[in-house]
Amino acid sequence: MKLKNSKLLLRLILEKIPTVFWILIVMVVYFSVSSTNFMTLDNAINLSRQGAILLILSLGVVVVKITGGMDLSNGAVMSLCGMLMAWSMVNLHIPISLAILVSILIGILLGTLNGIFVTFLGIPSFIATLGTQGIAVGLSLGLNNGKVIGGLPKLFSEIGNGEFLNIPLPLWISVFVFILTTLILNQTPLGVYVYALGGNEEALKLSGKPAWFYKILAYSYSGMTAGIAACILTSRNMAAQPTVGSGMEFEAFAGVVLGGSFIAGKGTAFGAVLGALFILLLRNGLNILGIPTYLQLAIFGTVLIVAIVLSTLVERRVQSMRDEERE
Amino acid sequence: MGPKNNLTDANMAKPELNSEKRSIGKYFSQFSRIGALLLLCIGISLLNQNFIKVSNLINVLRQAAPQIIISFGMTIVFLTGGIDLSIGSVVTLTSIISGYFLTQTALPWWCAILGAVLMGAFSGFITGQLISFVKLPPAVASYGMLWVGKGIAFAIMGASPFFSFADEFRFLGRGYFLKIPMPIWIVLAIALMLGWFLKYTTLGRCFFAIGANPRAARASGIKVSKTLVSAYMMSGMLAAIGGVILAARLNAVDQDLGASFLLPAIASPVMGGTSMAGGQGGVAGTIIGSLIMIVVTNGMNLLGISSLWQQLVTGVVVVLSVWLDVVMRKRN
Repeated sequence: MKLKNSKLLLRLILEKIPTVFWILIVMVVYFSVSSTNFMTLDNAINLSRQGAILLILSLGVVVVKITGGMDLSNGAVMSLCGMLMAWSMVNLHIPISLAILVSILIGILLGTLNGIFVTFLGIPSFIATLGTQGIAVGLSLGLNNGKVIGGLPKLFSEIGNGEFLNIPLPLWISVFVFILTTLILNQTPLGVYVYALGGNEEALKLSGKPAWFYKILAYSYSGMTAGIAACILTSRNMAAQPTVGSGMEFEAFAGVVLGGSFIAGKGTAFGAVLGALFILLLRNGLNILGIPTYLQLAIFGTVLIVAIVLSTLVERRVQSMRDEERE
Repeated sequence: MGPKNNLTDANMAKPELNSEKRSIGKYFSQFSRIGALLLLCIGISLLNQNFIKVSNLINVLRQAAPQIIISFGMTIVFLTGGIDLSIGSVVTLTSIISGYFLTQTALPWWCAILGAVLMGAFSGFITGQLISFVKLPPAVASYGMLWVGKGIAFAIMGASPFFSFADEFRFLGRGYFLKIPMPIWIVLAIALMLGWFLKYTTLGRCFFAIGANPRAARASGIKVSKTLVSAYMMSGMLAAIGGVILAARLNAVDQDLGASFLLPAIASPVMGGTSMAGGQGGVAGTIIGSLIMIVVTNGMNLLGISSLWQQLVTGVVVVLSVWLDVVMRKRN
C-alpha cells in the first residue's frame, strides 16, 4: 500500500511539473556556482528585458502547438512586423500608437494566412508556415532593399526600455500576454476548442463546431504575439533589421516543446513560460561563462535535443505508470 | 529464406498495382510537368533572349545539379511518408567539413568527400533514430537536427570561412568531361543509380511500402525502424554529395551556404509528383521539379528582379505546389 502511494506521488510529480522545471533548477544552481555574475539583480532585470520577446512568442506558439500544429514562421513574421512598423513611422509619419497597431495587425494577418493555408488548402502546418516564413523574409528584405530602418521617434524607445513601478515595461507586457493566454486557454470555450482540436479534431467537427475557424484563430493568435514582440524588439534596438527574428522561431518552438507540449492537445501557458526561461537562462549562462558565440549554437542545439529526448522518455514513463495503476 | 522473400514480394506488388491502374493519368501528369517546364522556358526566353543561349542553359544545369541531388534525398524521405527539415543544414555542415579537410589538414582531396558523406550519413542516422526509436514526429526531430547541424558547422568553422581548395576537388564542380560539366554527369549517375535502387531492390521497395501503409508494411515483416533510419541516412548522404559539389563549384564555404536549399528541396519532389503522404513518386519527377524551381530563379535573375524578393517567390511556390499535391491526392 505504502509503495503504491509513493509511486502515485512520483507519477503526480512527474506529470504535473514539466521535466524542464527540474532541469531549470539544476542549471540555475550550476551557473550561480560557476559565476558570481549570474545571481545578481542587474542580470535578472537585463534578462527580463531580453527575455520578454521570447516569452511572448512562446505564448503564441504554444496555442498552435496545442492544436497539433507547428508555427515556424513567427521569427520572420516578427521581422516583417518590425520593418513595416518602422517604415510607416519613418515614411508616413504615423503616430506611435498607430504604428503599434500596424505591427499587431500585420502579425494577425500573416497568422491568419497560415491558418488559411492549413485549414482550407490542407497543407501540413510546418510546410505552410515555412512557406509563410519565405514570404515574410522576402517581403522584409525587399521592403528597404535589405537595409536597416533607423531614425525612429525618441518616445518610441520607451516601450522596450521604459519602466513602470520600477519593473521594465517589456516584463509587464509579457505578464499581460501570459495572463491573456492562460485565461483564453483555461476559462473560455475557445480554450476548450483549442485543446479539442489537438485531442480529437474529428469529434469537434462531429459536434457541429466550426473547427476550421478555431484553428485559424489559433494561428492568428500566434501571429498577434509575433506583432507584439516586434514592437518591443524594434523599440529596444531603435531600428528595424530585416533578418532580426531569424532563428527565434526555433527558440520559441523548442521552449514550448520542453514546456510539456510534446503531442497535440497537450501544453499550458505556464509550461511555455518555463520552457522559454530554460532557453533564456541557457543562453545567458553560456554568455556569462564566456563561451564564444560559434560554440554556443552547437551546445545549444545538443542540450535541446537531449532535453527533448529526456522529457519524452519521462512522458512515456508517466504513461506506463498510469497504465499500471489502471490494472 | 523462402517465406520471407515471398512476403516482401507480396508487399512489393501493392504500389505497382496502384501505379498500373492509373498509368495513363500518371503519364499524362508527367507530360504536363514537362509541358509546364517547357512553357516556362519559352515564356522566359520571349522576355529575355539570353535565356535560350547554350552557355546560359549549361549554366542553369550546372547550378541545378546540387539542388537536384539534395532533392533526391528529400524524395526518398517523402516516399516513406516523412520529412527531413535538416537537409539544408546538413548541406552546410558537410560542405564545411570538406572545406576543413581540404584547407586545415594535409589529407588527400578524396578524404574530404569521404568525410563529408560520412558526416551526412551520421546526421541522418541520428535523425532516423530520433524518429524511429524515440518516436518523435519527423518534422520535430529533423527540425531539432537542423539546429544541431548548424551549431556544429559554426563550431568547426570558428570565425573565418574556408576557401581555395585543391584543383582535383574543384574539378567536381567546375570541370568538364566530353564538353559537359562534371556536376551534370554526377547528377545523371546518381539519378540512374537511385532509379534502379528504388525500383529493383528490396530496400527501395520497402520505402514505398512503409509510405503507402506503415501497418501493412510492419505486418508483412518489414523492419520499419531500420528501413526508416536507412532512408534518413541516404537523405543525409545525398545532401552531403550536394554540399561537396556546391563547395567545389564555389571554391569557398561559409555558414549560410545550405539554408536556402530547404524550401526548394521540399517543392521539387512535390512538383515532380512525389506525394508527401508517402508511397508514391520517383526520381525522374524530382529532376523536372528541380529544373522548374531553378528556371524560375534563373528567369528572375535575367529579368532583373532583385534576389531579395526571391525568397518570397520560393515561399509562394512551395505553398502552391504542396496545395496541388493535396488536391491531386483528394481526387485520387
